Amino acid sequence: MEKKEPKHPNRETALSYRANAGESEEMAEQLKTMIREMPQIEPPARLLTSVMETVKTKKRPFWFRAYRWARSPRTITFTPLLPVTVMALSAILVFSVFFLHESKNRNITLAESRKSIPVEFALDMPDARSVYVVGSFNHWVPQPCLLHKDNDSTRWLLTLQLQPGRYEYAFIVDGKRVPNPETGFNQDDGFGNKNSVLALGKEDDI
Amino acid sequence: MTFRRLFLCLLAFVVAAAAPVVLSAQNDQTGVTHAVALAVEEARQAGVPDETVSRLLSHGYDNRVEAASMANLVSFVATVKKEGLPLEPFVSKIEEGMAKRVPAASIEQVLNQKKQDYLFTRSVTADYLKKYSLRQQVTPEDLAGIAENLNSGLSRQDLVHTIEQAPAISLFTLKRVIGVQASLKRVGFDPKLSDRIVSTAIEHNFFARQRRGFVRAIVAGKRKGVSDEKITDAALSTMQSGGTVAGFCSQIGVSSSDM
Repeated sequence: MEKKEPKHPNRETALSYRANAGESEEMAEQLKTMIREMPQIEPPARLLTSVMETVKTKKRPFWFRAYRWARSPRTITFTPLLPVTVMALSAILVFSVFFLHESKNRNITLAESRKSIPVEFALDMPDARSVYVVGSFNHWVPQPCLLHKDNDSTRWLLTLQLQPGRYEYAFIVDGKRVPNPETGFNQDDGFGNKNSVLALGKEDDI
Repeated sequence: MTFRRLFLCLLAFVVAAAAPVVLSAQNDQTGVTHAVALAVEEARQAGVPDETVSRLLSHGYDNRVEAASMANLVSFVATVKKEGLPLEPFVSKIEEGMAKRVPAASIEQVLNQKKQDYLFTRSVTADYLKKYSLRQQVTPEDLAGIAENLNSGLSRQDLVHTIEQAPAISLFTLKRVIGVQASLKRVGFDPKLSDRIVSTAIEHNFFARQRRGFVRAIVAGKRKGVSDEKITDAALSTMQSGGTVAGFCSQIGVSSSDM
């Protein structure tokens, strides 16, 4: 099949110059002149739109794109210092949250019930280093009934949620058991010490 | 006899002498462990909840109570249950004793006294109910509420006296009357005046209506230096006029913060 080349006078002229290598500079000048003399043709108005319509693809739903993103492999680069730093910061965060929670937790529920009554235990003992309350409500075990004192206060405080009933209790101030000095309701414990008495609910008169 | 033979003979003698002691100790240990197991079984058969037994054993372990003592304490709880007495005051006293590192023998002594107090209280309360033909059940809470006053100011004679003086009233009111008497005695209130307060309160049904804060107000007034006579006068006038505890407080100059 014979291939017809389109006729282009300027091109034919240029090719004829190729035969003569010695006249390359003249040929370059002529080419420049030809380019300058080429007509200024404006692109059709719909060219951009039609090109973009051809190129534009249909947008996939979000879940599909997310799935495809999750499935596609990634290359992650990190230095050993990065995970160590992240772990250290996480540990600090967890301990901070735990410590803050502990220090602010002044309301302890010993027995979950609708009838629970909030009872605030208070002791004015500014020089004490630690104060616990123990009694029949917590089987005489100090944990977790540690009283707290704000820096600008002299009083140790703790609120417990207790069931109605009669209780005996004492404070442990720096390891030493003492009855509540702020109540007139203390009694012998039978072992040679004093307990304070607390009555809640129907018997709430002592 | 060479030195070697002499040494072997001596060693054999020592082993022979020590063997019975070691075996005896092992038997003792086994016997003690067996005693705990028997006590636990006795408690279960008496109806003591497993949770209570476990609580006691756990407390004993934490406070390093000897197994033989632990067996005695568990056995005591079984006896309390068999007697039909409330368990909780006794279990709590055991826990308290162990937590305070009181010797087990002293704990048992206190428990025996407590048991006698409870049996005595049950007896006089039953007599009281019989005297007035009152058909009321003495609940464990009522019994504990009355009996615990014997450990906090009230003597057995005081208890008998108060119950004998009481008219036919509910057990709840009786418990309250006895509690008020004990509280007033504990703060050194004049016994004659406290009798007047209690009898007037019963007469006007004051304890049934005014449940809270009355004794606390008296104690607070006494702390502030108000005389027993003035407190009694204010209490009687409040009861006779159908007043309130708040009104009584204002008469003796006691505020809520004092209580």
